[in-house]
Amino acid sequence: MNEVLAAILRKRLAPQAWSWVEKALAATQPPVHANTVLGYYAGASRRAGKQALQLDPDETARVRAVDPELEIGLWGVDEAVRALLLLSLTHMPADDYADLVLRCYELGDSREQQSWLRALFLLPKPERFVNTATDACRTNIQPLFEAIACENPYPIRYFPELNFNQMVVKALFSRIELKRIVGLGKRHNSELARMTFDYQREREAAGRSVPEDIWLALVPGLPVENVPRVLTYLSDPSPNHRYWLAVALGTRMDAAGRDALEARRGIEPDTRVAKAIQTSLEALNQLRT
Amino acid sequence: MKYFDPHVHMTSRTTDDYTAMASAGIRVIVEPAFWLGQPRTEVGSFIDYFNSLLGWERFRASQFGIRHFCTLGLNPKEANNPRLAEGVIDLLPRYLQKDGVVAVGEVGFDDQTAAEERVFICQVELAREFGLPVLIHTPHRDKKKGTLRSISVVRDLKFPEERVLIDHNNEETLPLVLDTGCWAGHSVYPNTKMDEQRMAKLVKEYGSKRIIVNSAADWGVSDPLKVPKTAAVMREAGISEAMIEKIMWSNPADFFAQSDNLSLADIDRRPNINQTELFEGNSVLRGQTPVVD
Ligand SMILES: [Zn+2]
Repeated sequence: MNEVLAAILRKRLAPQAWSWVEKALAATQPPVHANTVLGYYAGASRRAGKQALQLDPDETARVRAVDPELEIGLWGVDEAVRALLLLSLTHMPADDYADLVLRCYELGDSREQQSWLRALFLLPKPERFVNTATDACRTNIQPLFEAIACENPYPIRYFPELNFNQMVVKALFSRIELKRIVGLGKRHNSELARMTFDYQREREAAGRSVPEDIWLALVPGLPVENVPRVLTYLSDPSPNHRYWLAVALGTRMDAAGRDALEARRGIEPDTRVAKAIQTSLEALNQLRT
Repeated sequence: MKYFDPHVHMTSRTTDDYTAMASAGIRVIVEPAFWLGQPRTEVGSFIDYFNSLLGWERFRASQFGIRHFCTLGLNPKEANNPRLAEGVIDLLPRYLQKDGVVAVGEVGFDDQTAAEERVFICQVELAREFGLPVLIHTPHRDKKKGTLRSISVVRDLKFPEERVLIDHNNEETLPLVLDTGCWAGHSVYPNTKMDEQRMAKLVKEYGSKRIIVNSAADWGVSDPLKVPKTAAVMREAGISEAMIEKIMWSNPADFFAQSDNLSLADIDRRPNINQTELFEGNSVLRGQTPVVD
């Protein structure tokens, strides 16, 4: 990953900024002075800038080769520099390394913490930082929350179920699109279904709207007897409700939504929704055979 | 009419807010210790925070003719930091004995973790030991379950329910709380939590017994005038003056009076404003002419 990041950065940085990065990388080699490294870690935004990386197809392929779920196109240049610094320190003794990595987070401003969370799953033994990562979800600073919750494979791989579910529900509360949560489909569970189903009813009781993509978290693990309670949204005036509900019904391991989808297929006016209904019905019919 | 806002985080508000609150009739406030938005990393930050709730903030309020009380405790979010939790729990016995502390709070659940539950239980025990009521924060996420779990913590510990205020209720949780002996708080807070119209509807349905309303105003988009504003909406909805006064004054006063740290006779008298007073050499005035009653 180090070479991939270095190549991406060299292409984007002016010579002066790149030579600053080279100096920073030299400081990661033995003997490591923690304060010097912390200084470079902090300085990356001012020296390298914050513009998004926006990878070309070739670069994307190289990143995907490291990990198919890795998505760094939205990272800032400074965040890539910080990731490279952390990855260049891995020669340190394990405990010293973990200490220094944690100090980068604890002494960081929110941009530094955001960069840290995004790079986290690339680090060796990333599970040892799980408490810091779950604690980061308690923030009210939206970009910081998004750094761990969105386009980040860390939560799906390392969060305990309770923390993962809380993160998903917080994303709903913060109006973050659930499709940005990596691997949500693989991590659905009955407790998440219960929490989001309770939230649907709480919103309805308060006379408020329900998030349009809540179905992605709610429907897969919903007990079959509660499925009729959500099917009314298949005829909701908002095509987004209809779309996400149709998509989510197709992921159920039973065919509880099939009749409702069949009935909707003939009258659905929106082509995107009609296509989702079709795809879900095909998946559900596959289930039967 | 005089109003009591039993939950407002004044450290995040300005002197303009105090002026507006005083002229809207707010005479007594309770400021619960809570999360500051930025996680604290040292126990010492809590010492300074508790001291400022007891000292500078009470003084600032008094300069506008408003009586300021506080509740102290470790909030559920920061209860997840084991080093902080231990340190703050150690501090509390000293702080809970101070003048003007009318409850332990806000305590309760946020993510509903095991660490949160431990710290919650520990603080309910402290409330018993120091003869204080408890103010319980219910979570935004998974609220119904969080409310039920809070109730079972209180019941398992056999803590007297009439000394418990469960806050931030909505349509789903209010009936659960009223089924117990606990008091039910409602935070009229823009966009999240409760609003004025829904609050009036709930009062029409459930009456005024053990019902409390607050603004929960803090560093977010919030409004420290929500108590008088909700009273106005209730009045328009045809709810009687007596009922409004019970909800907006007597109920919170009765609840916190159980601490023996707030006297009903005392709060009935409006404190004299003397803005020429200084707090440790500081005045809230910066070059303005002081108001003296
Ligand atoms: Zn509060």
